[in-house]
Amino acid sequence: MIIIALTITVLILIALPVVAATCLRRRAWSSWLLFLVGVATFAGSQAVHIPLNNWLADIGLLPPAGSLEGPPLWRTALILGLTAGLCEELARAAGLALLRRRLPLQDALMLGLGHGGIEAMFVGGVALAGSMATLLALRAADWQTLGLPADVLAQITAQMANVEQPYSTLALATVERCIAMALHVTFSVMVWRAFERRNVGWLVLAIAYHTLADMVAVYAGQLLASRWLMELAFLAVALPGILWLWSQRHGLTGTTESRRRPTWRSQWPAVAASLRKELLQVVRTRHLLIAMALFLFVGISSPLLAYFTPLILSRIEEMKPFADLIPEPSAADAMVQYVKNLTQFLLPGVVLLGMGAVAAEKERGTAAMALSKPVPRWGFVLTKMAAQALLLTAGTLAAALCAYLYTLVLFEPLPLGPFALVNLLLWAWLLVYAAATLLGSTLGKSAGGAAGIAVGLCGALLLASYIPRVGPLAPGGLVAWASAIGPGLKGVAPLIEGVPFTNAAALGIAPVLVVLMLVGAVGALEAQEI
Amino acid sequence: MAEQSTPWAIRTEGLTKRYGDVLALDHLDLHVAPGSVFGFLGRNGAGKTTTMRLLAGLAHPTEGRAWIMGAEATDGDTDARRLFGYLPQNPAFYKWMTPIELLDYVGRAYGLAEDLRRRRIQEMLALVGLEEAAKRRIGGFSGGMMQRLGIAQALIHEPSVLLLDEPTSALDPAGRYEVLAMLAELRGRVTVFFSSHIIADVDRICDTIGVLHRGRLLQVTPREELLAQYAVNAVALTLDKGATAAGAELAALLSEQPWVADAAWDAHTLRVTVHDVAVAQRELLPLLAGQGVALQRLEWVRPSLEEIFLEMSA
Repeated sequence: MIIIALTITVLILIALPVVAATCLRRRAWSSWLLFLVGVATFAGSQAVHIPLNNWLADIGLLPPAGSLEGPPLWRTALILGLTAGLCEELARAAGLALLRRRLPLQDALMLGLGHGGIEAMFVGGVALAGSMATLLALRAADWQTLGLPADVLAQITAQMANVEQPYSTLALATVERCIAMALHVTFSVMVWRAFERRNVGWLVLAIAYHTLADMVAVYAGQLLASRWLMELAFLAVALPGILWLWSQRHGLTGTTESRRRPTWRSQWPAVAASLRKELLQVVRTRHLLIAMALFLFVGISSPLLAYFTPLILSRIEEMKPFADLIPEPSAADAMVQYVKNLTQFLLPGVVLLGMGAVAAEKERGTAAMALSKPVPRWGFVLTKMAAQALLLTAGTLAAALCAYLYTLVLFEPLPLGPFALVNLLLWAWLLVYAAATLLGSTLGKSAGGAAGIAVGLCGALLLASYIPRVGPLAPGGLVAWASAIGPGLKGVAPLIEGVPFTNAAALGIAPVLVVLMLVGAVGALEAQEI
Repeated sequence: MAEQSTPWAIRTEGLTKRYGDVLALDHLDLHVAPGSVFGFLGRNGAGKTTTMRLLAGLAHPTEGRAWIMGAEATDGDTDARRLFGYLPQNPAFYKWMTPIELLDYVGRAYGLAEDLRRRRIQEMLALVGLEEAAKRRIGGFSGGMMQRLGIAQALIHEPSVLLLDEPTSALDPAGRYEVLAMLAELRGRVTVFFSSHIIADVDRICDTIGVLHRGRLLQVTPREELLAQYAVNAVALTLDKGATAAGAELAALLSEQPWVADAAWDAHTLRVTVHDVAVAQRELLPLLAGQGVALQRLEWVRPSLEEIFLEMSA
């Protein structure tokens, strides 16, 4: 039940910024690319902010990361607030300056939603998922006997309080991210106003307000015992900004000109027609057949390879002296082989099947035909992703079923829970690559160019696994988790150096990456000429 | 933005499109009356297709706006696309589909109810003569069949405005004749905005003509008015075989008349240029009758649309 609540909360936190941006676009049109500019300003600000805070900690102006011990609290709160305000607001200003054109209010709001939205997705969604999942796993294990250092044990003990009250923790995290996102939108509008009125005072005000909000957050975390009171204090500091933001709503272009915007009801038939066409296309162009053949091959061959490989090796003359060293194959081996095969065979399949999705339609002229109808461009992209997702879901289910049955016949029944988790992780991994391929296909002007971009994006995602600290969060982290489940089948949970191994953060990042890549694809297609 | 009230089927205001340094369309201000068959003439590269793509929402204007039946077409409003049907210059469809499947897809995209959709599919297939090929894969279609299918998909939702970009360019003479006849039948019910560089096609069915040259709209005029505007004050007289001997003499006589600017004889035809058409129309025939000249033919010379177009876009 806790896992379901956690999953729902993470999905809400990931979806919230996108839903808010969609509602904004219904009211006053703004490009999704502005959302991505907001994402970039957040990423850019953190690239400076985190090293800056680490340096300030090194020279003693701030306490070490994760602690507030040492310097006076007022100074810590002020410096933390000021570095956040300076880094984030200057990054926002740089983003607006680089756009080099006069933007309407809705674009500033969109940028703010991107900036605050990605923070909600990462801090609220992914970090929450990661920490909660780890704590839940630790709760299941006897963590007092793991031989962890005393300070780590103390931190875990403190955080376990959150696990004991999971629903209020999740609700508060959602409320906090909503307030933070509203604040980010407010800051963005203030910085935008500095450009609009050519008055740097608005930028200074945004930095000051950001500093104040973060100071209150630090103080509240230290001085208030109740987490509800902490959020109330945070809301109190955010409220003036939110009210000011609300007072600006009349500045939205479109409100004054009563610009007509299509409604969901008017767009739905075209989107449904587009989805129906995509599904029909998957069947008629034999994509379904090819994909199912690949998935079934993986599902059937994995237990067979696990079962027969040791037998084959033991029959080889040169290997006979080592026959006793070859371990007896097991269901766990079948699962490990399944993870290996699926990742090796299906990744090229996903790229090959998806790389022409948009680019080939643009090249052949069918996109022009479809998009001169009431099919919205977002619908054109999202229905393609939906068809890909359904294809991958059907394929994963088919592969899983085959793998389960063959393992049952050759070895023993696989435990359903861990095996389902393995499949969920691999399905999420495939979805990320499907979204990357779709983004590449949208960015490319021709099918050939799109293939190059898609392969480049997928390569970058694969290589991201090797980046220190960030690597485990990359899609490869999902495969690492899935690979770790197999060997741990006979135990309670997969164990790495005595600590239960989970990578819920990578699972949380996967939908974030999918969402961002789809936002990019829709934004790019909307900006393109067909 | 929706216009409050408009008498125009298509209206553009300062519509401009620039590709880098190339000005493809230069502040196009256009008004097309509902129910008319509007011929949009221009040489290759004049900006006809750019205009069509801007109206269809496939390209983004650098400046300016456009409305179709009062709904803004240049701001990505998908609702505006219900008001028109569009046939691109090189129509492309999903090759794995059959015409029935394609028309069903398009009908669904326009939100047509099932009964209506089925009826319209049959009507459209009959209209464009693709009934026999209705269940064949589009992948095997000829250029002409694709063009017919393109017209069917553009008309399936009974739009108020039809945007046709070079609709006859891929058709054989018989196909062209049929398509033009079909478009002419739509006059009064549907506004047909029809771009072409085939002047004979425009001449045949269009009641209003717009001439685009290097991205600029040179003129928009009713066809008859355009022809009259470019009419030269000349009359060609073909003399009866027995009267040809008197041709040169007659030319000299006509040259002496105060309302004649010039008269020239070339073996069979006497070409008379006049100062004042009204006076000439009154005086010419009595003068010829007085000379006892037998005429085979008398024709006031009108330039062809082709000549006018070439002159305008020279």
